[in-house]
Amino acid sequence: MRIKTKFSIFAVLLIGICVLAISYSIFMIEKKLFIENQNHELTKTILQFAAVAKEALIAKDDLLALNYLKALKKTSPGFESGYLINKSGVIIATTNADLLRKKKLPEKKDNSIRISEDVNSGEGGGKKIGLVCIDFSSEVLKKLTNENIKRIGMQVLFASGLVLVFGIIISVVFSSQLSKPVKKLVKDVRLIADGNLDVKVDVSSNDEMGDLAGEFNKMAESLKHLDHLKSDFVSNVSHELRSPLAAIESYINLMLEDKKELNYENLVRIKNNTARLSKFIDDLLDVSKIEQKEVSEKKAVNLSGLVEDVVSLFAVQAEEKKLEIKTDIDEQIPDVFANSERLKQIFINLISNAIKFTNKDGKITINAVQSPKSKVQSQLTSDIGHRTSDYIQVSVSDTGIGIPKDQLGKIFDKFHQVKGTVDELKGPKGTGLGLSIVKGIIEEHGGKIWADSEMGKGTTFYFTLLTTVDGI
Amino acid sequence: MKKILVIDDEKDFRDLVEKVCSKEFEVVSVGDADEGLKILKKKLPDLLLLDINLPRVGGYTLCQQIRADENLKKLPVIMLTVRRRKEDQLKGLELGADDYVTKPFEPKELVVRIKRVLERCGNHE
Repeated sequence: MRIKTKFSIFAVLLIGICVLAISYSIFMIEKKLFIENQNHELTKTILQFAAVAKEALIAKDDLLALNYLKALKKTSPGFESGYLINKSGVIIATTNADLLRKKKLPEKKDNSIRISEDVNSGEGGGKKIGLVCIDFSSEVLKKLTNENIKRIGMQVLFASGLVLVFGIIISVVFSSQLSKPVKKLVKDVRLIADGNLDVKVDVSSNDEMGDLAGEFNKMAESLKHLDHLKSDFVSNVSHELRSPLAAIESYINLMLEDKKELNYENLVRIKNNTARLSKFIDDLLDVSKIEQKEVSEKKAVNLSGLVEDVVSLFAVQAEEKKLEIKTDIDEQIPDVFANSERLKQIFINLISNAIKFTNKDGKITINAVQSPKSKVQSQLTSDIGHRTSDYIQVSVSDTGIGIPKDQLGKIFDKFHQVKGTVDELKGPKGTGLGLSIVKGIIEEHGGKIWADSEMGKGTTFYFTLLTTVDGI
Repeated sequence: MKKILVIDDEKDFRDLVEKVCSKEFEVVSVGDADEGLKILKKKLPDLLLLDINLPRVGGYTLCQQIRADENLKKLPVIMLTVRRRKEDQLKGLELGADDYVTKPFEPKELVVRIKRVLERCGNHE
């Protein structure tokens, strides 16, 4: 069943119940009021007659009372007969001429209502000087009551019918108004689901429907962004795979065409390109691990031992370029909470970058301090949200060529390579994934990475690691 | 000797083109579009070998810029790229490239194609 129908039925039922309850109460109240009002009218009639009778008795003017009674007979509904009896019990005025001057009041008929009232000499009391008495026909009164109740009933019925009809019309119109944006939303979202990510859900109402549409638009927007990222990634990957392959094949072609080209230099180029290919594939696997948010198994790791191990891997390369690699890690520093393989990867990527971008006779320094309280740090602490004593800050600095300021924010993006620097360097071309892997690993470890650099003077990478105190 | 400018971000390919073409042409090579454009504006070569995947300004964009520039628009351009799909090839030719060579290439083939383009463009003038 459609929302529109459900809502309409619900609204109509609700309106129906309300109208029924309200009209029933109105009817009951009206009925009660009418009956009270009728009784009040009867009392008023007798009191007024009593007042007239008092005057008539005092002035000894029987005719006055008689005329009043005659007038009442015409105007008062249900009036049957009226009597004025003086203090000696003689009927001195009546609409029933047979009983005039008689001493005995006739018995009340079964179908009559008799109301009587003493006539007193003073205001609201005094000596009783007579008695007034009126018989009303209960049948006429009842008929009158029934007629009136019927009239009230009809009025209430008519009014509630009108309310009900309007209510139904309004609820149907309102529910279709309500379901219109839902229908539109469903239509547009279906288009988005079919992969048409440029569709904008066009529901601008200023309520939850509008909010929902807004959220759908945001979702489509981020899907589109992801889609772009994905196709960018695929085209980058295929380019990065093809480039070294094309270089290898082109150099082989060259050597096949011209035997003189079959030399050491060209073989090294081919070797470098195969190395680049396999490095790229390794990096891709690392990236995929990180993208899948694979959580690594962590334990307490001794930082200075791990760094010594990594640095020894680079001994030959450093020697070739006459670079000094210095580690300055306090042995008292607490263990970090990390996955040692991934932690090694961080240092391998950062140190190999440092070696690559540092000219001969340069220096690479690896430093680690516990909870430094420099200006940058206090800012960082609030970012990471843990106490200053809970992490270790590591820095890897070189005296290399530096990174332009406007590039510092981008170096952690996948496939980003700083323009113009790469070509002049020996060895295989980088994959543009190294720093994005480092960033991924550090973030997976609950840390943060940033860099500082001065052109021609060198670059320092800083990152934070949690200590075991905080980690476990 | 005819002059050729190579714009390619891969050093291996710049060196390769130099090796292959240096017997018959004078080869100058740079790693990105900005530097290439500087050289083009200083002294027009006889032909441009242009890679598509370049840092910052890509090969397609540069090709468009060249065709839109009064002084450069007659420069013969050969796209030299790893992109082998038909769409990429068509796009390159539509944007005004005179030929499209895919990497990997055979050295002889590259030289022949360069010569052909130079002949064709020379005849038009």
